[in-house]
Amino acid sequence: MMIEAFEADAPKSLLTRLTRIAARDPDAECWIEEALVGRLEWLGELALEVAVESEDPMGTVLARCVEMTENLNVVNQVRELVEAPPYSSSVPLREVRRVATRIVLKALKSAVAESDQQQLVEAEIARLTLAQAMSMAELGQHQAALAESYEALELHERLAPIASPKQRKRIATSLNQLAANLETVGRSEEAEELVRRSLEMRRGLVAEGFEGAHSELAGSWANLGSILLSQGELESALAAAETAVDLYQESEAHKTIEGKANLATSLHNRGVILLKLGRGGEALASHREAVALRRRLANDRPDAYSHDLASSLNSLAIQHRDRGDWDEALSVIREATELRWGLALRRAGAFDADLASSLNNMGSMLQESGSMAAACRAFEEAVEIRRRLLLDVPLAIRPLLASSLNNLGTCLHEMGDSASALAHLYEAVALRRELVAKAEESREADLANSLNSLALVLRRVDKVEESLSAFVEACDIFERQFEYQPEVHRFPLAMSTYNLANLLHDLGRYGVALPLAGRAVSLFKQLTDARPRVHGPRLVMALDLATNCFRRLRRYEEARRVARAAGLVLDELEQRDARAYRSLIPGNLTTRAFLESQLGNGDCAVALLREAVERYQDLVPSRFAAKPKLALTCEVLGQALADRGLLDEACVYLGRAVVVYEELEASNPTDFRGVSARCRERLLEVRAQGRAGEPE
Amino acid sequence: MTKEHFSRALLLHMSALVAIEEPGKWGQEEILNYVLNREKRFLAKVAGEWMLPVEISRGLGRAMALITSVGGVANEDKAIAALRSLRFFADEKESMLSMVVHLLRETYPGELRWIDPMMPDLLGEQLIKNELGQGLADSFDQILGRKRPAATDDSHAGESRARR
Repeated sequence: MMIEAFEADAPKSLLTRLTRIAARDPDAECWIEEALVGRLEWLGELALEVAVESEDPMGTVLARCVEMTENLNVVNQVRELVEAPPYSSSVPLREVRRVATRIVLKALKSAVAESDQQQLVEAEIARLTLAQAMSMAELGQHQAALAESYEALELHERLAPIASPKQRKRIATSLNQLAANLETVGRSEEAEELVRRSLEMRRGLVAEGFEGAHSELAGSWANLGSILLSQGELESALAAAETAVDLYQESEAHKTIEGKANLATSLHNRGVILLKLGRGGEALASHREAVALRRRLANDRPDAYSHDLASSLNSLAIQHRDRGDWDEALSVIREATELRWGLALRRAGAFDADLASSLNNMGSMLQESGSMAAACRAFEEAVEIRRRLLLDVPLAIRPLLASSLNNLGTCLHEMGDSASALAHLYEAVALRRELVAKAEESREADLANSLNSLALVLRRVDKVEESLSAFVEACDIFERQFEYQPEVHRFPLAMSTYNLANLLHDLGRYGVALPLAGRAVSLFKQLTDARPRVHGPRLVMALDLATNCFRRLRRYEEARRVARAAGLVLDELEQRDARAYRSLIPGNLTTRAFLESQLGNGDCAVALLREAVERYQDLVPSRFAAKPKLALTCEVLGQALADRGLLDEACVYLGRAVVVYEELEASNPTDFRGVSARCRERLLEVRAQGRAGEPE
Repeated sequence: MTKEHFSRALLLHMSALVAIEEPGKWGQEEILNYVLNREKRFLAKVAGEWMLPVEISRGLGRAMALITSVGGVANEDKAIAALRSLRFFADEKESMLSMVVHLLRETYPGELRWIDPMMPDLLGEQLIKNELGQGLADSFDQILGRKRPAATDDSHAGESRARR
């Protein structure tokens, strides 16, 4: 009797192991080919299953095998399988979908003239052309996908006079797909027109009660939302995204895996729009919901939904950063970037754009956390990828490249490489000027951002006039934008107004700087009310600048009032997080002491200086930078006490100053020898003064 | 612990072992091959104890690679039939193959199957990889089904006829 040597699961076990071996060693892909060629007829579906479970490189090898197959029936059989769930959403099967569709489409086109069922074949050609467009778009072949989408739409519309509801459904899908492709390549106005047509058709199908029309209508709304977002029409975009969410939730489809994935996409899009509208709390809730849903989907089907999860993590990280949760933001963006590295490794065309986006965001977060070198590396990689993508989809990539150039420029500036920073920032400004000139008004704020960054670098390299004019231009733009969207533009306006005021102050133009500093204070005050931990220190910074302007203008009363206000903000911040903010307090105390002494309140000045000394003393063990300030404040206090005749106490503080100066001198004689000697001398004088006054 | 983490942990153990025995810098593949060579030496020793002919014992690795590639074998008869799918063992006597499969069963006793695949997966897959070019692929026809012959090239056939 013939014995069956292998169990029923043996073929799957072999294909799975061959896939895992080839994932580690690409040279071993030939063994998967050896296993599949000539056996696709019965192994095709098993290979798809293995691709879903074990991922790459089974899909890409299977695509090569399909390409080599001469049996059209086998190719068609694979195509039908890969077009339907669960395989239709699998990333590792994108190449299979693309190849199988192309082969069958070519065969149908050559057979249509001789067919006795011409209309049916033409309808199938139209359907497959659309499928081809979708698979090209999935692989990042955007221009080819666009041409194919136009052809699909034309073919479907030619069939329109005989259109059954099923045909109209396909026309609507064609319109929706074409719109998505147009948006990807940055042609959002054409996209909007088409998606609105698709929306109308699908409304009609819903009214007719056509099966599945509800969730497809939601798809058109979602698409419209995303297109309006790219046009900067935020309110309308939000309305569209919310309609999509409602429709998905109402439809039965949201109980299926694909339905859940679509709902997650809508929640994600809604979050992105809310964030742009400055409605951070709602955006965070929407993104958290999307992440939770997508994480569940990706756990079950990593091959299909990891890229969606990466996308939502990317947005969630931005939210955490905006709320000041730096550690959380970095950990989330790292997860997103890691996922996208993995995806882009095998399908650069499809995932490079996403990877660049995560790298750009990770760079910003690393920069904010002070990891400048790592941030620069991330920005450089983002710039490199985006330069490459620029050739394929210039319209869509140009603004993104400008953003990465801007970030790289600011990062290099912070690392002290002003020359490279300037080169990148000039390029960013030029690109953004081009975009604004092409009537992309929504890009004006980006231009202002780059101008602001450029101005900061110009200032460092002493190109003061050029810096001033860039700051002024940036402020003008932000003021205009602020009128329309105060929530969105309040922070950048506050920052650039502060920067301009600061430069004017440093140029000695205190009278001009003062109102600008006041404007910055009022903007930061509004921001601080909403998020004290994030904006409180910036409010203090603006109050300090206003104080200094008043002081220089010898308006000491007003200076004192503003410095006190800064002190109150600092007290509040210290109560929230003493460790983070206590270092800012002694500086404010010394400023106020100076002002009190100018106003003739010597006692008050001395009291403030005493508090400042104790504060600096507390800081010294953890912050070396506090040490010179401690020495200086002790010296000033000693002097003030001596002036008031309190010589014993003056000697105590001058003595403390001498001790600290001598410690500093030991490690840095160049900077501290002079001041140390001066203070010693002063101490001796005060001691002598004291002895002279003693009764004999 | 997930499967992947488990494999990584085992790889760490293996690399620690290698580092003790042969200090130096080792890549993943080198570590796995080092451990497989130890396994091979061990099998050769056991084969000697079982008085298995040397030429037969040279096929033990391939036999284990085959069993690992299909996820194990269910009983002795199936194990022998599986071995016959390899050209190396195709013409061997039943009694000899029986000795081979019993030796393997004793060395890799099954929890789920009569003989389990070599564990961890990472090590078993390295063994498969090493044996694929040595004749393991002979068994594909039996595991996956015989290949459909390629279609005849009609135009080529026509040309031959015309020439005649």
